[in-house]
Amino acid sequence: MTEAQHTFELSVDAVPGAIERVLSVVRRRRLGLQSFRADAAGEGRWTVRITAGAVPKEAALALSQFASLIDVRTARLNEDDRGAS
Amino acid sequence: MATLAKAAMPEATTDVHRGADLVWRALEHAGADVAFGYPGGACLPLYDALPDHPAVHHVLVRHEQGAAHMADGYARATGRVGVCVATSGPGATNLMTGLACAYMDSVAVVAITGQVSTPLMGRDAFQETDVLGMVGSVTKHSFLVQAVEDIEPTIHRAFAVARAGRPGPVLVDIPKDIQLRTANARSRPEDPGTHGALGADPAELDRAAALLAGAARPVIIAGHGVRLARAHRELLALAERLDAPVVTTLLGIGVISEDHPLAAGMLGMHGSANANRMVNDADVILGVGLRFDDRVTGKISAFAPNARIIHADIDPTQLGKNVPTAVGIVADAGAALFGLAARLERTARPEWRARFERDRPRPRVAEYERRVALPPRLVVRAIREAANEDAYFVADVGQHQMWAAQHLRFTQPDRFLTSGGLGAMGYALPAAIGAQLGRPTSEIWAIAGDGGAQMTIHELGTAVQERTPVKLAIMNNGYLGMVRQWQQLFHDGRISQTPISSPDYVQLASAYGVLGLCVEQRADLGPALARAKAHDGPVVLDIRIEREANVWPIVPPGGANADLIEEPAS
Repeated sequence: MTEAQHTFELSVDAVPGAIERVLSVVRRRRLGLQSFRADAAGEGRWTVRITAGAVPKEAALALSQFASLIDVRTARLNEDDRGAS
Repeated sequence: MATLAKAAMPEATTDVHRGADLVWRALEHAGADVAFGYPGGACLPLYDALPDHPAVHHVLVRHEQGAAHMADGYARATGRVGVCVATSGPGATNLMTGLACAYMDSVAVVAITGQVSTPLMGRDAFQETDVLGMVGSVTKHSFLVQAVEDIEPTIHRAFAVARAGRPGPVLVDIPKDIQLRTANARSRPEDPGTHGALGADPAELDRAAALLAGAARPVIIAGHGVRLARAHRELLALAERLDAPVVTTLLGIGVISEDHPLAAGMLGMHGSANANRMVNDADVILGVGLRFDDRVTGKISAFAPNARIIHADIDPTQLGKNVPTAVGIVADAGAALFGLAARLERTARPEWRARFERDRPRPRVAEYERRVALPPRLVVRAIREAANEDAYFVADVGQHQMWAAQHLRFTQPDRFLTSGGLGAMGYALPAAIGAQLGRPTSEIWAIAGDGGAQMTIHELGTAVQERTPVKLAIMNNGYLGMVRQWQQLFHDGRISQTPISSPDYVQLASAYGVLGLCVEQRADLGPALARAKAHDGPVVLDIRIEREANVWPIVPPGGANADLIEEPAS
């Protein structure tokens, strides 16, 4: 049996409301949040890394929804399949 | 004789303005001619500056929910961006229902809220709320203005975001001290945020066209996106080329004239039996400008079991969200429909067409319609007959909304306004006032139940103050009718908290200075509607409809569309 772990990496404008909007997608897509981290990346941006145990369809939808947020500049998804018994 | 020459005064060269002035200036430049709002402490500077900006007509509402619904109605009726204004704290929270309604139905609205001054933010100041934190999930975007120089570009950006792609509400929160600071005005932007239509990927269009060309039983489902794109001509061209019936969502009603032979009515929970059967039996479905929500699909696993679905929507996040799609097209509805029509030959599908014609619902009068004084659908048809052909109709939420959807029969696009996604009771009267402000020469009818009407009836005061001649028809059955219907059908008939009393609407209307008419007998309906239509001012019609009439057909909650229950023989 394989449990998929997804890591999203977003470049986000450092403006009020931006993190709340990202978290809203996490909540509404029920991503199975494992970790959430935002680091200042210079030039008025944050780099947001989200690790989640989402099912693939939801992860793909979440990526699409992250990318559609106005203050998300780039959105990337890495899937790391972990073997689990 | 001495002549005193008046020294030439230098022209004022300074272009420094208060932030509050910059807000109205930006709204003027963005094309806003009406703003619906309510003053308060954190937006006092805005209202202090307002008299200096007569290009924006401010409509004083009675409750901020009304302001948001009015902006929504204005936007839906005109295709422009609606604007609403509120103060911090309760002003902003009262906007929330209206913003959520606009968000669910993809309506371009810009909300301006005052906020407590920046040194007070985060200190639980009087009338402070974290507005940005609250509106995140009911707006397309939101801004907190942190510098007076940012006011104009932020408002222009808000308009651009509200209009672009899938439209939606945008909120701009402006602290009071920022409104009071001064800055140089910016020059009028050359492009206040117009965007061209989003074209479709030719490869996806090719794949979709191939599927449609090979279909034996194609159906087009047209949603609000077709209307927003003003793509009704492209829709008709494609439908005629495919010889395919067109069913609509609630918000898609009117995108094809309901008199057209290919118009198959509304699908979903209270859609026509024919529309639901056509979708159930289709082999290829083209869904354009809709999100396939649960009221449309019924039980998702049983939706259109024989069909491959092509989904075209301007919002890429909708594709594959609710139904599996064979082909997804990210595009403006007009571009998608035009691109598909250009790839397809005109093809007759006589067997499918015959089936469609055979099952087309025939007008019939149920026995009870002869028995009772005012059956609801007869009332709706009478309103339709009394109104101008190009009148706008704004339905509230509940049974009357579905009767309106089923029986008003629209031959022009854009004439039916209702809260489809959020289902916000209280929408009709304020949205009708907003529509009337946007379409001052048009006839606007609001249709509400006695429950929804009582939620926002205070906006009659706004209608009077603004001299908007909206006609509010209250279909009064003494119940929260849709909930009562569900209690009757799905909760073993346990009627709980759904009988509701009403004030004397004629007296209430009179207290507001509005013409009020009560209709209890069938013979009085036509004359009352004629009098309402002829009256040059707002009118309230209290129409005492059959008390326990139900909306038919109905798909049971959680059931498949194919399992819809038709009207029992009476």
